[in-house]
Amino acid sequence: MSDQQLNAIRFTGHKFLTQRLVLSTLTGRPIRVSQIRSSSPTSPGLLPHEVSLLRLLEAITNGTIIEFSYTGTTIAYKPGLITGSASGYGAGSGGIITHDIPSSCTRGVSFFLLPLCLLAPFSKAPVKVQFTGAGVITSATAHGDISVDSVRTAILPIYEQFGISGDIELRILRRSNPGYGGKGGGGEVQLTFGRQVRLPKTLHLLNPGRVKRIRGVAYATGLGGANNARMTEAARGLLNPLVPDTYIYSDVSAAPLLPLEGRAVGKDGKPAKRKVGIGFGISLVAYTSTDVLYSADMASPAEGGETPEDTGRKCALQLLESIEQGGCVSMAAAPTTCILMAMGAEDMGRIQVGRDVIGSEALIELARDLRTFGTSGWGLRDAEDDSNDVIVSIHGRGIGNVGRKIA
Amino acid sequence: SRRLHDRKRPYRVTELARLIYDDSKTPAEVLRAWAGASEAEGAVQIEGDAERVDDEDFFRKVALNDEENAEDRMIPAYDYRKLEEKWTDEANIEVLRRRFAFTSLLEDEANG
Repeated sequence: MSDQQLNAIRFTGHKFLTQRLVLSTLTGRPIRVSQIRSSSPTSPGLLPHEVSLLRLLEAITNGTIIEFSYTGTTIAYKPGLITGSASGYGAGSGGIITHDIPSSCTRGVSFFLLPLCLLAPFSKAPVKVQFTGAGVITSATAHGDISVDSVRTAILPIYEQFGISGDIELRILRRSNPGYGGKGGGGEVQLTFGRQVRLPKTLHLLNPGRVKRIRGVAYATGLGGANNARMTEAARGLLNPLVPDTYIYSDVSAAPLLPLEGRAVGKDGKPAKRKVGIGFGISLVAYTSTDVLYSADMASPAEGGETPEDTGRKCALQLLESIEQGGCVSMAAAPTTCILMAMGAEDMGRIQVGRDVIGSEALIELARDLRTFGTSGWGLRDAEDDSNDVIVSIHGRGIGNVGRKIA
Repeated sequence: SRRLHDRKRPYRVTELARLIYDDSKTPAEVLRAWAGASEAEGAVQIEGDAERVDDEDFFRKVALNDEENAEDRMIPAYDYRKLEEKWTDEANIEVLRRRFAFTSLLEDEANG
């Protein structure tokens, strides 16, 4: 194909970088992003988590070329084939790619998981990635990342609706909250995405249904289980009158122990270690009668000073807000759903979304980026029921696994 | 968000469909326009902002820049105090109640 000769698509700014990298990799079109935080006096250029994401993309693809400018404010990204964890392409024993996240990372591991999940269905071989290192934060973060629990219970089920199901697993091997100053964690997560498709099915989701049950996970790392009980209690106080069928699991685990940087040896002659990622958090998911999901996430701030009651209550409030926004996808799941729809079979897919969800900067920018990458524009119209929602029609590109074809 | 549910003129879908691919506006501007702020209003607002910047010290400018430098978020940054107020209000809960399966439909019909 002539994609190789196409000029790179130009973007500016650090916003929506992840989504652009994903779209670039899916469509096979090179991009060039300039002015990345060029006006920032303290931290110009790419941040550690973005650099780490680029390395991850490089690891699961073959032939990707990434060029940074000297200051890191401009990158040129030429995507290769999505090979996944095929043997001979950097995968270790058992076909697992190990991705180390540096301790300076401030974003949750969902920042890496979401783009990875979007690429995985279009990969050549199954994708198995293990996230390790001092920077893996499995909880929600103050930067608005969702927790791995929400990825597992609220994002991965979306793929099922596109006919992508079976052999998809997200295993949480070690939990971690953000460490000191919101940096690093020391958790461990393994994603297995063993289901590859040529094209995602066309999606028609027009009935949000009614919320019938709520499930959740309360987690505490390095702290007592009483915190979980207190968070659950506070969340239930708000939710139980509305949904009696509420069940929140409790997960208590020890804090990750990481070697202390700088000082090599402790008092006992062994390498000095310290506990990181102590904290608690809660993830809630509301299920409707038509299997639509709304999720909410809240974790204790890294600097502490918040009671478990507050955290639990805030999470419940966030969930109510998400339910009120309505539609068939929540704010957190909308980008994933829309991208899969746009990459789907050449047919018109329809989805009902809340007015506040489509009227968010993230989705407007996504609509524009998708058009820039060559998909057709979205059609918008009012929903026929009395819900005030908007029905978005997205035409699939019908080419799905582009990378494979160029090869 | 309550205002959205009155289905007044500002938040018309056809309007958004027109605005969404208007590249001369940033997404934030699109949202403002969709909310019904006219071009003139927007200009006045920006002017006001500029004056404020002049009046205040140098460090304030960086703070004003924050919106532009914000990182991408998955979860919107809510003001939880406002949410707390909103969801302790019985009227709001009643409106939301019809989104739950445990509300009997008969009751709904009786009410409206």
